Amino acid sequence: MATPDAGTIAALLGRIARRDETAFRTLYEAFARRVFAFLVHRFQNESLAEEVVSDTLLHVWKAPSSFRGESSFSTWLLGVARFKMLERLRQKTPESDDIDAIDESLLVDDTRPEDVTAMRQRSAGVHACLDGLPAGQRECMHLAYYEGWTLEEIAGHMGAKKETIGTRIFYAKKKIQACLSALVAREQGASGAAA
Amino acid sequence: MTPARDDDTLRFEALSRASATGVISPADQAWLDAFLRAHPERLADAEWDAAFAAQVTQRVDALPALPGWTRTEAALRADRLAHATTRPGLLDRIADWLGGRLGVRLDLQAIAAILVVAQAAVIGFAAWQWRDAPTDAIRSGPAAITPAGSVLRVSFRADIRESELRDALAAIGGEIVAGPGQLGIYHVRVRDGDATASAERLRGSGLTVLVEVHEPQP
Repeated sequence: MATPDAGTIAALLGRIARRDETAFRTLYEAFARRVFAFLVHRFQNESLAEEVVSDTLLHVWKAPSSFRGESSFSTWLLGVARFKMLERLRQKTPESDDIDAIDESLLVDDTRPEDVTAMRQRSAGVHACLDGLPAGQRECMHLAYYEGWTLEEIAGHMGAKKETIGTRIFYAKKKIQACLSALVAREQGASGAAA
Repeated sequence: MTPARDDDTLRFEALSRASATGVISPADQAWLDAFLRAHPERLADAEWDAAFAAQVTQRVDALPALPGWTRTEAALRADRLAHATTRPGLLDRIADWLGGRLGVRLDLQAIAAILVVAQAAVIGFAAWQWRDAPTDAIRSGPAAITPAGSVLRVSFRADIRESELRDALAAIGGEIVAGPGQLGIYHVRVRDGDATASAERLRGSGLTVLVEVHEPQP
C-alpha cells in the first residue's frame, strides 16, 4: 500500500481520535509492514516484532494526539516502535557488538563491478550478509536504504552523531561487499573442485 | 575513522543512497548525474546502492502485509467493550466538545490543565476584587448561621393552619430550627432572655399542645 501523505495521515488521526476503526485499519495497512520490517531487520526477532508492531499502532489508537507533527509520521512511528522494542528487551543481555569497531582491511577496496553483480544476483547471500552485521549497522542500513532517511534523520532517531552514522554505513557497506565476495569465492572454489 | 572524503564525495554518497530509495529532488538528481559523468569510477558505487536498496525492498515486500493484526483486533474488541460499558467522563466530553469546534483533539491532561488555570483565574479575580476590604472581615467570613438563642420544644395542635403557625412564630420572633420529630415536636429558637415569656405567649395562643423551654444537655 502506498504511503499516505501528511494531510491524509492527519485526517486519519482525526478520525481515530473519534474512535473510527476503519481509519485505524487504513493506517495499520499503510504502516504495519514498514514498522515490522524495521523491527525484524534491527532486532531479528519476528514474534516479538509482531507484538511490538501491534503495541506501537495501538498506541496510536489510544493516543493519536501524541503525534505532534514535529517529524514525519513514519519517523515518529519507527521511533515509538524502537522505544517499545528496547523496553521489551531491557531485561535481556544488552547487545555487546562493537558496532563502531574498525576493520582496517575494509578501508582500501573500492566498489568493483563484480560487487554490483553479486549484489544483484545473490538475494539470499545479501540477506545473510546483512543479518551478519552488528545491530546498529543493520539499523542504519535499513533506514538509509529502505526508508531513505538522511544521516541527520538516522542520527536523531538513534541518538548518535551524524558522523558516527556515516561511519557505520560506510563499514556496513564494505562488510557486505567482503561477505559477498567470500561467498562467491566459496561457490567458485566448490564448482572448481567439482570439475 | 572512515577515510577522509571531501564534501563532494560525501554529497555523492548521500545522494546516491537517496536516489536508490527514490527520495531525491530533481535538482539533487541532476547534481548526482553530473557528478557521475565527471567521476565514472564512482558509477559502481551508485549501482551498488541501487541494487542493495532493491534487495532490501524485495525483502520487505516478502513480509506479511498485516503483522500483528490478530492481536491488535482482539485489543480493539476489548477496548470497544470497555468503552461501551463506561460513560465518557466530564473531561472526555469537554475534549470532544472542543474537538468538534476547534477541529483539533486536545489531550485530556491539557483540558484538565486549562480548567485548573481557569479556576485559579477566577479565584485570583475574586481575591483582587476584595483587595481593599478589611482583612479581619475577610477572615471572619459570613455571619454565623447559628446565632445565640434559647430553644423551645413545641407541639402544635394537629388542626393548626400554616398561616396560624407562621403568625404565632412571628409574634414571639421565633424560628423553627428542627422538627417536627416523630412525636410532632418542633424546636423553635427565640432570642436569649425571652424563652420563658415566649413560652407563655405560645401557651396562651391556644395553638399548642405542649410548650417547654429546652434545656440542652451539658
